[in-house]
Amino acid sequence: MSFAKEAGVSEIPNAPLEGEATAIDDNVQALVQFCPHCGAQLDVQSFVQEYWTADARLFHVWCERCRYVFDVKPTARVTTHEPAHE
Amino acid sequence: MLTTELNERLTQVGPGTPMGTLLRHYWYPLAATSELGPEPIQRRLLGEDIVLYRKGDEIGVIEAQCPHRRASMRYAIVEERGIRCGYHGWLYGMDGKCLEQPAEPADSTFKDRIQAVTYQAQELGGLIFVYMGEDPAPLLPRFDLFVWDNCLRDVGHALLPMNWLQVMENSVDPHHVEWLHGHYMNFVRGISGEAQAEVLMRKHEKVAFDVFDYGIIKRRVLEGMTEEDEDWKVGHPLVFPAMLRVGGGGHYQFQIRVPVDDTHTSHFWYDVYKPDGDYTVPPQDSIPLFEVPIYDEKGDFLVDFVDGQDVMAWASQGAIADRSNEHLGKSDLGVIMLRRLFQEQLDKVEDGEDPLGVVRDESINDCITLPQEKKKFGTGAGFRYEFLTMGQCRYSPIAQDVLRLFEEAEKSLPASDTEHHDATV
Ligand code: FES
Ligand SMILES: [Fe+2]
Ligand SMILES: [Zn+2]
Repeated sequence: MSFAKEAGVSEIPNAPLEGEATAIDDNVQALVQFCPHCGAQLDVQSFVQEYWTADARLFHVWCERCRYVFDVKPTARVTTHEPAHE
Repeated sequence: MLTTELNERLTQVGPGTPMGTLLRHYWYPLAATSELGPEPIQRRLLGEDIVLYRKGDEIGVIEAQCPHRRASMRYAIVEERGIRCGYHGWLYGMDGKCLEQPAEPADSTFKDRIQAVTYQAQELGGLIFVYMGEDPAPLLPRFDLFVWDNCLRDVGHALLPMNWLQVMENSVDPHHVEWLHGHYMNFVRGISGEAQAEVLMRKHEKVAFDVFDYGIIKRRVLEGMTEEDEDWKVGHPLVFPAMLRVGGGGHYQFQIRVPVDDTHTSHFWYDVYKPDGDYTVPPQDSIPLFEVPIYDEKGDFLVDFVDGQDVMAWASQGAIADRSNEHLGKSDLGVIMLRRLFQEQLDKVEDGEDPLGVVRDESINDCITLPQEKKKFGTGAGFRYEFLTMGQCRYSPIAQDVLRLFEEAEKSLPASDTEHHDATV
């Protein structure tokens, strides 16, 4: 995945896996193409901004049509904690 | 990372571009009052070259190239009815109407079909502001620092080689202070054995950003401080779209980032010195303007003072920072918020609404007071000391008068109110 190499990050649990790398990495907007709230296409009049917190890749999104603001976090593997047991 | 397309939308300021249209809703200072005498002066704003001239009490603004054969109106004659091109004498009224074409036949009506582009100008606080947008023009906001009395002022200026947006992004990036103006400052100053920064080095524990009527208020908690401190409770604003308000301990400053074109920013440091306490400062005859140097004799950036460090950072990001090739983290959320705010305001303008901070209500425009902490970084005087000695103020022609003013004011305060700092300005 080209972005990971560029960023000097070797393991990114939440990013698409190595074999899955597609043109999306060359185009941030393409990774979040539609508004999760109203379904509008997120074009250049909306706002899609990639940022990272620790090893999570996030997209801060503002939809020009419905004006919702949210963060999108692509998730390759869902992990949870071990439930407490006696 | 942003797409290249969105980066262009956010950074191009010329006529007809979305951002150019948004930015044309505001007034910008183009010169100090003292710079405009009997001769016209030329400036570029938002990608357009214009000429300013003084006619009695009025200031005229006209496109820089004469509509006849494009000679510069900077070399024109200012007269009773307007401005006359120096090349063939075509005369334009302040509204841009062509009034005379001396070399044309006497009965010619050609002049009636010639209209030069003109804009409005106003003076406030020792600066000349120009508005390039559509009519009716909004009010020129009378922000506190432009209208206060009983204070000293000076204006530093530098023409900078980069897009205005990366300068504004710096104003929602509190973490850079402890690094660029703390650790990096002390690295550079350590090499030459100069005094070290202490207050500016303090570590940031928490930062926050709130949108308000005039922009974004920035708040911070530094190590050892709490949310009860002024740095958090009061904070200070980025004034949308092109100013920063900053200062502390009786020093107040606007940093005004005028978008000249896509790759240049005209930067004004508008300083007001107004200590607490009892004193009288007579009005200044004129506000001194001084150039802030940004390069040393080898052509490298001057990085041993706060503002030189900022300029280095902004310029070294490139003429227009390539945001498709950046890596933002959580500490960049202020920058992300500012970009989104611009994008939201672009949308408002496309819907025919006024964007954030446009003032049209006379009743609020006597004096618009902006929030700014006094006891900055937990120590007003300590911050002021480093900001004055390690900032662009060190080049001010009135630096000594400023020092005397703070000394005098301090004497009038009860000892418990003064914060002593060993070194003097
Ligand atoms: S660490 Fe921020 S630009 Fe280098
Ligand atoms: Fe700075
Ligand atoms: Zn939507």
